[in-house]
Amino acid sequence: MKELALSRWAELVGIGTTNAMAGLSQMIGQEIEVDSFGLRKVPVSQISQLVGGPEAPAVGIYLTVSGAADGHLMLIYDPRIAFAFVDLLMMQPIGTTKEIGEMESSALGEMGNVIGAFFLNAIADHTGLSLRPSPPAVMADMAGALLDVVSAEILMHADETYLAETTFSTAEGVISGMFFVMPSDDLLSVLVETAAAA
Amino acid sequence: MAKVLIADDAAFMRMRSASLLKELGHDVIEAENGEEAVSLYQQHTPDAVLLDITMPVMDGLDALRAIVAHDPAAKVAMVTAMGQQQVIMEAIKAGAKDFVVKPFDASRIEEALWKLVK
Amino acid sequence: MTLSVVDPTTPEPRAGVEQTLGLGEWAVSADPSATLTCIGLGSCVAFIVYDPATKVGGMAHMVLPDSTGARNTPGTAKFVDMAIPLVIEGVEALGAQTRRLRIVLAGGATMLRGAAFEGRINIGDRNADAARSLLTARHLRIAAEDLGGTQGRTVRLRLVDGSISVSLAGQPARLL
Repeated sequence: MKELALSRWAELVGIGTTNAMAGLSQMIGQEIEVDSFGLRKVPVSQISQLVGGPEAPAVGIYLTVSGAADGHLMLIYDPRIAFAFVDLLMMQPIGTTKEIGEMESSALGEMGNVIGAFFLNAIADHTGLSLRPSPPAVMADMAGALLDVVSAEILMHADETYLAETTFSTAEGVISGMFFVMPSDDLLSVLVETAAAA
Repeated sequence: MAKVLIADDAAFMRMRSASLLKELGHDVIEAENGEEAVSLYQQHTPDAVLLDITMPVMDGLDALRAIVAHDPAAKVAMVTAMGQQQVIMEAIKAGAKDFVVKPFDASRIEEALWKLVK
Repeated sequence: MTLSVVDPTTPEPRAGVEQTLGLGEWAVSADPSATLTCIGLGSCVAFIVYDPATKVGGMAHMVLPDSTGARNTPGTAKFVDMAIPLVIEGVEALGAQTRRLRIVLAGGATMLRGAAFEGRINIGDRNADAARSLLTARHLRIAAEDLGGTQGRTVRLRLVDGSISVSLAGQPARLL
């Protein structure tokens, strides 16, 4: 990727992430701190190493982006963290949720919807592009199996991806998680065009 | 008391909104997607509609257009996380009376509903 | 890409060498102490072959059904149509005979569910279909398969006896 595209992508992901975390904070009624934010070029086959390896149990919330360009957003959590999120969303004591049933899955999906939409809202308003999220899919499985959903799409066109990775936590440290954004080539080139036009 | 149609694909959100509206003394009809919202609107002619946008099968903007085409006097507020300026403009142009960005607090929904049915 | 070629006559084989294949990787081996593994297969499909006479085995972690029109990286097992010939040629090079191969497919789950993704092309099914039809076209019989469903799988081939085990998340392994 060209230098320009990378810095533009970093800028926009930063703007989007800040807004996404604000949305999450509003939703769960807790302050959210961003612990780290990184942009890296990773081989698609290595992505699962970032979430504890392909066999690690995980809960994933996935949504696609459409409109001006295509892309993928994925939130991945350790199951215990996902359970804690459900407890916060359902306003019950942390530790109540022990598995992901239909209502739990719906609550996590709605959280993904808010995070994804807030992320895209900020980028859309900043660039004038129309970027629309799909409804969310919530999955619980081995991390590798969850990541196939995005990996297969990316590997169609490339062996590497420019992954934006945000780790965050609540003030009391009850919750931490990762938020991945994987752009399609299409999305990157659209963003570069808006940068060139700006 | 009003008859309110809520459309959201997330059962969690329908549960939340429905319990809030019932507490306020309203009758609630629930739809899981835009298509269902349109057909329930035609069946029940509710006093107000709270429409999510990001939904499978038919999204909220298309549902809004279909509802307004069927009933130009329909009182619809969008309730969505997708608060992009372009989307807000599109919804208002298509006939939405209000635009509530999720996550919302109870008072915001109450206010939106009051404006719709006053 | 990994390609392990170990002389089967090595006097004392190393104990329990497990080789884990990431997305688009493949391996063939004649080391009887080796285990070839694909961890956390979702929509991906593992192509597994074993020749009991020579104890030569191979595995590919296949991601997509067809390389036509896709970005093509030679020598990778990303695509079903490229991976299967690579593994078969690989085990043949180590002395296996194609007619003796026990051929097994595992994976190809539908990970994305929900109304929003119903109309979407299902990569898991397409991978499984592509593998089946390519093998049929080559007149190769599938001895066992564990395909489809909605859960991820981990699959292991032990070269010492050709046993193939499959496990779902948090569940005990079963043999194929």
